[in-house]
Amino acid sequence: MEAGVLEGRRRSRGLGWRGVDALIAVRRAGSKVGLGRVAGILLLVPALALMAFLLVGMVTLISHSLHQYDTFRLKGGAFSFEQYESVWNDPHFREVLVRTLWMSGLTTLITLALAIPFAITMARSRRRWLRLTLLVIAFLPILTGDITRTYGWLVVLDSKGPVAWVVEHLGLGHLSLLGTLWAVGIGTVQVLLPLAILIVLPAVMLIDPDLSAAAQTMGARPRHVFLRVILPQLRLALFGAAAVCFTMGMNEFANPALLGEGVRDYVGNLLYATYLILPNPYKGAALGIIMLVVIALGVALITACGRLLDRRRRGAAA
Amino acid sequence: MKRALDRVGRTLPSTTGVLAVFGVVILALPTAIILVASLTKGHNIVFPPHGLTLHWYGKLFSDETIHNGLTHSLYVALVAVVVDTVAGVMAALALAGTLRRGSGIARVFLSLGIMTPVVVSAFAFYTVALNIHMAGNLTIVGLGVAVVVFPFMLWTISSALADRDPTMVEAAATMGADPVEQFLFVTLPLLAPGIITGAMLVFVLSITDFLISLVLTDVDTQTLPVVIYSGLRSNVSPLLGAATVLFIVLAAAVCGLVLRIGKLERFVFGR
Repeated sequence: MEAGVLEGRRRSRGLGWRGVDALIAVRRAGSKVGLGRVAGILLLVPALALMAFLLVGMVTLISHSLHQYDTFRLKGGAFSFEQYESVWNDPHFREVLVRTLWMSGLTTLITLALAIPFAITMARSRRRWLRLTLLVIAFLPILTGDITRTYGWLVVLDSKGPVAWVVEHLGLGHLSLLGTLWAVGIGTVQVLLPLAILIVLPAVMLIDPDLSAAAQTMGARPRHVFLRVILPQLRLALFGAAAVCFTMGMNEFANPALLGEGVRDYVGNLLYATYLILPNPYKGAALGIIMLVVIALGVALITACGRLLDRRRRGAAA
Repeated sequence: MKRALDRVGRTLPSTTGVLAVFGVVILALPTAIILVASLTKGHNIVFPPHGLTLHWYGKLFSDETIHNGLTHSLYVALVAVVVDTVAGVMAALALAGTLRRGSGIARVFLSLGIMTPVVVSAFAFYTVALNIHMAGNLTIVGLGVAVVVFPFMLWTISSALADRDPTMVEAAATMGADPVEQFLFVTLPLLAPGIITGAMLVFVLSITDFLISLVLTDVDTQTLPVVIYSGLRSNVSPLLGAATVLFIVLAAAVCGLVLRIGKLERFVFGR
């Protein structure tokens, strides 16, 4: 059947169709040779090549972190753990690490506290324009990029900016937020909020309104309805959002550098300074690996807490 | 204490509203203020502004550093879009088709770019670039950004693939279409919106990329975000604000297009 149909079509063909026929012939030949399975893997090659770029670099970083480095002659040396020791024993590193961890946790909590009402408002609103507007407001910051967001806060939080102007006109005195952790934290919340909303929204849309209504008919006050009925339905999404927010909070770079005016550095900033400004790329590599491990541990901890609470709930229900 | 909490609890619906407004302010205020800042008359940005002017937008096109930065950013974005589109379409097809059983692990592996901190990935690329003596090369920057942004392309195309109506391909087959023709004339056109959405996301995310460009470029090959960053460290000027507005306009355009083509509304709200 195939040969007959093709013969019939091959007669009056333009150039494009000839190309298609050629591809068909290639495919037929290929399937006779058994190219089917291999084709799937072949299709993955470009993507795998891309990942190889990252992987080779990561392996090199790991290798560097395990060798000595001569900061005078700018060359690598023998195998050694001294980079890790040097980083870990550095009091400045400890200060920066604690600051980064603390701020990541704090901003995660604040972000979740803001994301839930935002998502609830989006899910409950009956007007399409409101839903769309909130959607755009939520996702535009992600697309504008790091520098745009940080620039915005540099202007907003400046001592001559709008927030300071409002505060002074309310008679509350002078406000100087730039260079403090407050500024860095506010900037970070704006980075984390879209992601948290994105993760929490599907769960909020799945909240069963009948459950809340049933609770209220049985006399539960709104506070109870929220804590005992709505929040548990969001638990999985909340822990997922917490893990993502924690990770992104740890990865912050532009906000601490610019909003913190160089005195509120995060681990990422310290890595940059160690690698390029000191310069000790091997020590920087070790710092990077430590950063990776800390973040992984944090995410594991958050996920474990989520599972623990899940099991406790099921145990109580049973 | 309990009664006080209950009183708060009774007003909980409006608490939701207040917190939601707070969220809106945090999300939207900086973007709005940037627009005002870029129109400020003086060299320093004060509030309320002493006067409004379009002067800085004019200066945008004449300033050489900004002009070069924009060209470099466009090139990086172009490289990232081309590489990610080719790799993304092929990978999504492979993962949905012949390799479906191992696709979970493969997807996680291909999302590595997002899972490692950007600053660490940036230095991973940096070591490779140094070893092949291509430090500062913009194509390398493009490839690095492509790796980090790749998951967005993969997710977009994969969900478009999953959304696709399988009976379309079957219908074409029953009418005598060869698998090549099925792919070229049925699957690909159906995937087109997804591919375009993914490409636009990659474009805007790579043109605004900051950290990878900061690490991988040198003074001659700075991209626009790096130019702005360098400028910000000395003075927060309205000129930089005007340059930033470029990014905002681009992001807004992509947002709008994604909403129309990418059916984002249906994806998020299911309606």
